[in-house]
Amino acid sequence: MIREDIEKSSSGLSIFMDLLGHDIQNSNQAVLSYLELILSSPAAGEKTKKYAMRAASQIRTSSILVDNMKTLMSIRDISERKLPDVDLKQMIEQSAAKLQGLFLDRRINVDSSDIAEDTTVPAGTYADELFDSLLMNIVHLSKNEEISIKIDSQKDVVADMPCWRICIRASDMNMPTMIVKDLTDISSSEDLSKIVRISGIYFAGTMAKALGGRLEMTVAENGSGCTFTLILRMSDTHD
Amino acid sequence: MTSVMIVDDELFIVELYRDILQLRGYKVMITAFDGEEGVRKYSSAPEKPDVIIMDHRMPVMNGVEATKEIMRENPKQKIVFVSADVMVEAEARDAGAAEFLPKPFRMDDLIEKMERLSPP
Repeated sequence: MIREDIEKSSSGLSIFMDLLGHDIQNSNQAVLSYLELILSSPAAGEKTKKYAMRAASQIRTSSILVDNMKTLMSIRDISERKLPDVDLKQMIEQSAAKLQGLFLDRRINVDSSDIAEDTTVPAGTYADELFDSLLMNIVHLSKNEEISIKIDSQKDVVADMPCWRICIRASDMNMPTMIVKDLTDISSSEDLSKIVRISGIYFAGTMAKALGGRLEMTVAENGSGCTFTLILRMSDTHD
Repeated sequence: MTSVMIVDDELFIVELYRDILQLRGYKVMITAFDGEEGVRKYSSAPEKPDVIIMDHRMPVMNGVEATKEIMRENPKQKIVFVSADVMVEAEARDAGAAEFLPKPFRMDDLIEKMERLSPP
């Protein structure tokens, strides 16, 4: 009886989140488009355009958060499903290209040249969302206009499982003290619920866990940079 | 001038499309607020629009069903399918939509698709 009730309420919540997500995306669409109209108007001054650009970045972020929310509602059974292999090098390069489009007022340099060509993981489209979210949050955490991100991948074996260790190092970040404290606190804990201020990191950590891996992080005390390491199961086809 | 029909249940989204398209020189000739109204207005229109912008999640009849009905009547009709739900893309294309745009999209992406589908 209790199980039935839980399943019923989960399903109700899922439908509600789906409806809510749909309505939020409609509102985001309208706000984003009107901001684009302001940006394309010759009558708008430089300051107005700068503010509109910042607002547009936030709307795009809000859209990604809505997608994250919908994904989190659907990941309960990931571990039981056979997900298609994904070429992470290609996928991360696409995420990096999208990133600059999301933050028109920032200069973002992503160096992915050290990701091994054969970095494949069984994660399907979830990998896409995981890296989109992680990279987007790195930019969010930074106060600087220019951000450098370097990504590499290395083979590893964790608990007898062949894995890829994907390291994302961000520098020149100038993170606020509060964020440094939060990241430091959560980097020493496995409890994802401690991530109260940074939902995108919570999302990435939860996704990594659902995919049978994990997310680790270290942060420079002075807030100049941070490193996120994703440990993800290697594809079975890999030798 | 390319003529357009907009089918979306949100008044503010219909107005938004109208603002964008009129600014870029398109003529919005028909608007409808659900799939059934869209099919009805399309069928009774003496002159058909060059392009239809079709939402998916609408009351009475959804966008995929409305697309199927319209394509049955006119297999050459050009439809840009727009939805916040990317999972519906394959279904929309199977129904006959020529283009798919996930929400929220950039204005230039919509215009690019409209240009691609506009008559020469």
